[in-house]
Amino acid sequence: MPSSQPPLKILIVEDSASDRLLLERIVLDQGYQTVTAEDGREAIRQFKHEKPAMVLMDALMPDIDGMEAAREIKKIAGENFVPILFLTSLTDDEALVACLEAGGDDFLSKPYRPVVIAAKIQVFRRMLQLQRALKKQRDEIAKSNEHFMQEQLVAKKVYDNVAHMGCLDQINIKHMLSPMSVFNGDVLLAARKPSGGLVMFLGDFTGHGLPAAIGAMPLAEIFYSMVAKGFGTESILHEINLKLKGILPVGFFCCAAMVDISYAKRRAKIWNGGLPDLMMRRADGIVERIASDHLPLGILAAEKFDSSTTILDMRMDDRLYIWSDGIVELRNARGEQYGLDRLHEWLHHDDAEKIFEYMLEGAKKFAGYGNYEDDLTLAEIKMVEDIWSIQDQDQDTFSTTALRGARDWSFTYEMFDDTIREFNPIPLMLHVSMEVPELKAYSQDLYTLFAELISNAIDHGLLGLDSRLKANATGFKRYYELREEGLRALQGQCVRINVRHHPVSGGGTLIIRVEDSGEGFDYSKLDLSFPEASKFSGRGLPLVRSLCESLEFKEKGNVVQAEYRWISELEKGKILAKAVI
Amino acid sequence: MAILDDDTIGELRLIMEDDLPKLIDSYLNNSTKLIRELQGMAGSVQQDDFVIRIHSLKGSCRNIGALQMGDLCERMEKHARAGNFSKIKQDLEKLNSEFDLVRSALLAVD
Repeated sequence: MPSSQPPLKILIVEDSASDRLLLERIVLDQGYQTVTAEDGREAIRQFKHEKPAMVLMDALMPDIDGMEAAREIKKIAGENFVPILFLTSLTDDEALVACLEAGGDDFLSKPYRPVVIAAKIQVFRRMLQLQRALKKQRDEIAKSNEHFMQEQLVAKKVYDNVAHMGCLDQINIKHMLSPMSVFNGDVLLAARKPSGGLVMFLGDFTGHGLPAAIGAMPLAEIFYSMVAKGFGTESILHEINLKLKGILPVGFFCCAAMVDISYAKRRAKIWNGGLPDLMMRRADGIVERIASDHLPLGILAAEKFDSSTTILDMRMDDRLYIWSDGIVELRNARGEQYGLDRLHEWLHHDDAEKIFEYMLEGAKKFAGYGNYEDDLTLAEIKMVEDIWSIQDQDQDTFSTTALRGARDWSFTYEMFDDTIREFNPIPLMLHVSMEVPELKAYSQDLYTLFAELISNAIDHGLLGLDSRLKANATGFKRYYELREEGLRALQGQCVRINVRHHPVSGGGTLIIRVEDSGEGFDYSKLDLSFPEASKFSGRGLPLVRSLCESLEFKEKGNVVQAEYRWISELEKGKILAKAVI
Repeated sequence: MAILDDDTIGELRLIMEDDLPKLIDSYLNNSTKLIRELQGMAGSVQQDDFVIRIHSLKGSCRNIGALQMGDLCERMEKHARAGNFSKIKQDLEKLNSEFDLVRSALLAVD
């Protein structure tokens, strides 16, 4: 036998002693090892005991005959392939068929022809090798597949932790994200802004599965951390684009849209790069569309990337719909697409409260339940009263990461002409301030304090703008024109921000002092009571005043100092408990 | 047709080499036993046992080169399968005399 492997062991089952002797000699001469048995019963015993790789067996034998023994041997062998060659001079078809049905793989007829026997054994030896190789491969594939699934599950957990749902569970948001595979090419994120609004992001990566999911991780990381630090939509988009451009291979990108909702201003800032049109369904039933006017993320270099947004005023109960092309391209059994027309039709439905459900149900019904091919992502945002005052604060997103941290510190930050013109210092201020762990829960207040105090210093302190201008729409526009002019003309000016935090029992105090290089003003007659709520102007300082323990103007009016007190969750609990007792 | 096929014997000599007498011995013992058993059961009809033995004898006759005796066995096997035992009785005597010839021929092989 032309092989270095140990010789194949062959079981010879034959009731005639001379035939057995002859066959054994023929097989031995071919270089194989032999085991013999005189009848079926002995054959089964020898098979169990010697574990031969192949069996040559007489079909007709006394007691347990060859066919019965063959059936038993195949049963014992299980999924291992053990070729059984029947030794027979049976000639009628029925008997031969019976041999095959009993598990026989071939026949050897008498008189024995050594050449034929050698050739047949050789054929089955090759089949055995092939079968073993296949089985080995199959087992390896099964093992590696199991390993792969295990890895996917672990990766999915990591992925879900990074690209978590954020605040998608808010009462004014409805959303659907289909779990098509372990990973999904779509990513839907939503986060609460420190200023009180909401930012939603929908991305649709080219492709599916792992390659798509990998891009979603840094994206989500950037999104959540930048939103939490108070960065604006434009900065976040720039950062995500830059990151994706850096990590995605050529030809891979992310169609995306970002919606920045301000509940206070009843406004939506929208950026759409390559996603289907966003649809606005006004409370009065009018439908508007916001088309994609940008390239997807991850294509353009930073200097060419355009993050300009479309700004839409929203009234109460106006609804914004956003989806990826999965739902549009959904196909039914006849290969037809669900299509935009069918989706848009729902927007005109009388019962606005049900539009989302109708769209989704319609899509599922169209495709035949359970047959969606692509990632099916759909979301609705409804304009409501400031959501955070209705709901509990999102403690998950804003949970404290550590109980220890910087508690007793101060810093001074000075901005000169260029920086005043170009740079938004609020994220930086928040970033430093939130090193006090428990203060994260108060980020909305802090955002308001920094935003109002700094803009007060620039707009009024340095530029001398009159906020009464903002009382009507034309004046509003004029105000911002004057502001632009003033900023361009700045020369030798400075805004100095000093922030100090120190702990007090059960909480802490944050003192923000903002000084500008302007001329100051007479603050002796300053009225910090709230103006009528409907007016756009003059709300800044009363709002700050209402949040703070104290608000003081100093020196010639160019210095303002706000003292903000906060109490820890633990302390709040104690106060509540006392109140109950 | 010759009692013993020379080509087969030649081939067996190649395969078995010095052990050819051992193979012949084994054949003769086995066949003697089988024929005795066949004669014993010719009176009482035990179809299956008869078929198995005559079938086995047929195979070993052909392997040893006793082709004429093999053909006789085949005919008897057919009769046995058909339950035609009256014909078998006549053939059993033929089988006996045929086997005598085969034995003589085989014992002459050196």
